[in-house]
Amino acid sequence: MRRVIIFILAAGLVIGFMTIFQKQVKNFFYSISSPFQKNIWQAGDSASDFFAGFLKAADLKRENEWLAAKIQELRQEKAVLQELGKENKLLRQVLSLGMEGEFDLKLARVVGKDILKDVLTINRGAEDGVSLGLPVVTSQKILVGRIGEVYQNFSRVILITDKDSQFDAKVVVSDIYGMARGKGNHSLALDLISKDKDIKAGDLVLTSSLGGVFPANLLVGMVKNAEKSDINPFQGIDLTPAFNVNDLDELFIIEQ
Amino acid sequence: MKTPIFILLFFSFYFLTLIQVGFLPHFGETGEFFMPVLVSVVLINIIEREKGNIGLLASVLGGFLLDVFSGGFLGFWTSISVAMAFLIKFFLKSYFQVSFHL
Repeated sequence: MRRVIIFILAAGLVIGFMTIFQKQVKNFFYSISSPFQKNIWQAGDSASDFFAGFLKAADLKRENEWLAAKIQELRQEKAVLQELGKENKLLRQVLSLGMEGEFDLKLARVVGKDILKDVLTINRGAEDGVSLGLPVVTSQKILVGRIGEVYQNFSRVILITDKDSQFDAKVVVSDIYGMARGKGNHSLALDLISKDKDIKAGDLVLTSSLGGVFPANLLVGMVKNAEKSDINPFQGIDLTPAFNVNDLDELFIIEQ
Repeated sequence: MKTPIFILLFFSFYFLTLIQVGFLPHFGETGEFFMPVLVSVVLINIIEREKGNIGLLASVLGGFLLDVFSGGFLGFWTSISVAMAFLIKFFLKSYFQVSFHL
């Protein structure tokens, strides 16, 4: 019994000491694990795709038909948008407005995911110029999250679906502004939308520059369902995030 | 405590932790909530001899590595796994008899 108590006290002292140097300890482990973690993450991605193929084989045909119909619909929309694009370009020339400045992007690779939270680990840190609060997007300019912790050689990205995440967002078609809030477990909600506003499932949601947290017009997700109740002055809106955390591999940190 | 056991446990838990944070999240909620490190700690403590210390060492190492690879402070998972080890020992001693041991 005495040995056990001494052992626990010693372990406590060592961990207490390490807590003081927490950043250095974690950075050390992440630095030596980074090459393996990258491979393990990719292996997990391939393995889950392989098994998903078996499990979802029955749904694939139905999904294929639905996608074919969707492609036709999007082709039509694209044609309309191309026309609008030409008009927009012309108007910009007329008004002598410069094109929107491109973001300064830094490529990062996902190496792990936190055990309980919606937080990812990426292989860029303070040495690469990463700092707290920088937005993180995919190559399709889909908003993924923001930098929540920075270590020497790696950082943690708080996903927009994490409970600690909230920011201003707008519904595209109707230009209605609200507050997107992470609910944890890869789910997202849109708050502060009054009941008189018309929101439909499938409406796209983008970031808004109102709160200054994220740049405007990054894709957040799609409205999953909108519920109105007599006791609540606002609608209860659930969003489907535009990204799937399992498919995230390479991300971009927006530096400016 | 023999050094080879320490090294073996450390590298086993290190590997399991990397699997937990890098491989299992791809398998949805089931994958995320299956915690091979904690499951191993529980199993080692169950099949360990009553007076052995390997279970305790496993709980400290496993907890420590989970702490390193998660966002919380160092000591969170260590406390949980050590408490689990003590609870298992207590229950086994009081209520059960395991016929095979490490």
